[in-house]
Amino acid sequence: MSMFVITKLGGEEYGIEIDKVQSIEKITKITRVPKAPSFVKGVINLRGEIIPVISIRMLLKLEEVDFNDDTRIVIIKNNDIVIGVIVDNANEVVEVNDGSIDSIDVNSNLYKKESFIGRIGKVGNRILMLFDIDKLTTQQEVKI
Amino acid sequence: MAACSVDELIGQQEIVIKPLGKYLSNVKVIAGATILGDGQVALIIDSNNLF
Repeated sequence: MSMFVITKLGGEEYGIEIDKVQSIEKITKITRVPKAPSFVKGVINLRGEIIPVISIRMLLKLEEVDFNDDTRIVIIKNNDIVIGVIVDNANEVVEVNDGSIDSIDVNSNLYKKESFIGRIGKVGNRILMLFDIDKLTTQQEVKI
Repeated sequence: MAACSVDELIGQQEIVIKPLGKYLSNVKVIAGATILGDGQVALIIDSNNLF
């Protein structure tokens, strides 16, 4: 059994491993950072800490939407890297059986090196795309 | 020596520099950030890296 925080982007649901999630915050003022990659929306003040915030929509090549009352910043901590990820909504945690999680075949045409979806989970008739947190938190090395 | 043109000069203040973190370590022109009294984030320009 693994637990995932469910986030929504458009109509689709995406899961983030719960032990990587530090907190879920409402949208707050984002200070832009010059020379940062375009998907880095800026930094926020999270209770005295400076946290970079990224647009996961931009990384996944989805169109960007305006923020609203449901917009959340999911704070992800992976080793010593902490980032915030902007999602349309995050209000559910689900348990997924390990047997219901499939990895994406690296040899298939659908697989792309720059994809941030590592695995796919099934809960009932719902499909959850599971983020590859390691890739998400090392993105700054990739030149855009 | 060089001059910087800016929109507005607000004032001067003693601050504590907080790092932007490993994730943004490639952004060389910004040395870090600080949190002002009202909670707003202010970025710190690394003047050595401007040249």
